[in-house]
Amino acid sequence: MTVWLPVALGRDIEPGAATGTTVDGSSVALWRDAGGTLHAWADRCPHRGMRLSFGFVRDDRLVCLYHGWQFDGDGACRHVPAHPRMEPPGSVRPTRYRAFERGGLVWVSSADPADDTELSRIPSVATPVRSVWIREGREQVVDRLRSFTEDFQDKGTVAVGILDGTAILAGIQVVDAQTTALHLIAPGAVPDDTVRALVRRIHDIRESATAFAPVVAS
Amino acid sequence: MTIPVLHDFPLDPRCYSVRLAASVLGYEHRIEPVDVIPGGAHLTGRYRELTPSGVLPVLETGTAVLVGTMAVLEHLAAGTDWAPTTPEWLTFASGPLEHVYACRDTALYTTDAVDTRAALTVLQTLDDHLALHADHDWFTADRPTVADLALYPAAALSRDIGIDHDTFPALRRWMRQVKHLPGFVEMPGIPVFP
Repeated sequence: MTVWLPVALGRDIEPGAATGTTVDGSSVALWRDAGGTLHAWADRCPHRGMRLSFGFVRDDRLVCLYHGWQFDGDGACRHVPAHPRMEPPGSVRPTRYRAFERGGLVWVSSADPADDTELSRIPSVATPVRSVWIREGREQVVDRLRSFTEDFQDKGTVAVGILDGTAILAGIQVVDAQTTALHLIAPGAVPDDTVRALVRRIHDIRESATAFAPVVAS
Repeated sequence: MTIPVLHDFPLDPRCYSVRLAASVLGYEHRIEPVDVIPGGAHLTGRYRELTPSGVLPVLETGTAVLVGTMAVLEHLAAGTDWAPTTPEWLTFASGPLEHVYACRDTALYTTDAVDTRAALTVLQTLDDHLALHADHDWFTADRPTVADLALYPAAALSRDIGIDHDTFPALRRWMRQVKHLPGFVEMPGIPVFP
């Protein structure tokens, strides 16, 4: 069985940006090229193992922060600054995952080919709300979300329900045994005020789980 | 005319926010590097008079001596578009943000264990504010102010205390915007690449 995993809100990875996430326990670099295409690669430079999510994007290439090796959208190494006239060998290539965007969510699959039928049930038009990371396991986070939500349904990689009168869909990402991310969208076009209220609400839900150290002036 | 002198420790994030502001605002000045670590020069010689508490940065304008990041930033921004529309984020930068810098000083200059819980809360507070005010690209307004520049080093250097940016999407976006400001300058630990 192939599972598409929600890992981010698409708007949070703007063109030219890179960040890190976790898929099936593995570190993954997410980056968007200048043309708007999103890429998900193993977060490890094939040269020296540096995290590629620390790197930077130049046009259609991800550049490793460590030694500046440049990789194009297919993962092919195109330039090695220390040897500018060298043709980089084709075997120097980061592991790539399949990435797909639907409903404002970024989905990644480590399987190839991935089964798309599950994704077709995600609304194609949605308003991104907010991603939060909660220091609890998946079951606790789902219970927590359920306690705030009406008509709640846990569907595996997503949960749906009504939060404060607005239909929501939360992509559920298991980061590790103690950390679960929720990537919240609202199907359809939702007014800004409603989105802000939902952002505040998902912050409340996160805070209800996390005993934060108090912030006081030192 | 006397060129203002900025007394600066290059590795200090509080000094960096002033260097960054001076560059972005196009403020003509000369930098006087101070050997704080390991030299302790900020506690000796004429610094005992200029800044008895040892606080850097210090800006000598020719007519006034301004001590500390907030005093210098407020001076640079006075009467310009760079003045924050509300004071709370400059206050935040001189208060809770110090948790991040205290952790970083411990991590860089000692072998002690670092408790980053308060620093994490500080960064989460920044990320939450930006997420809640997505109609504004910047902390206090729809334009950048010195409040953004006062907060920026703590966010950009958080990897020095083992706090990554992966779980702070709003902060990431804002940090990229800061890097795109004309006149942006880097410091050790903050790559210039956006």
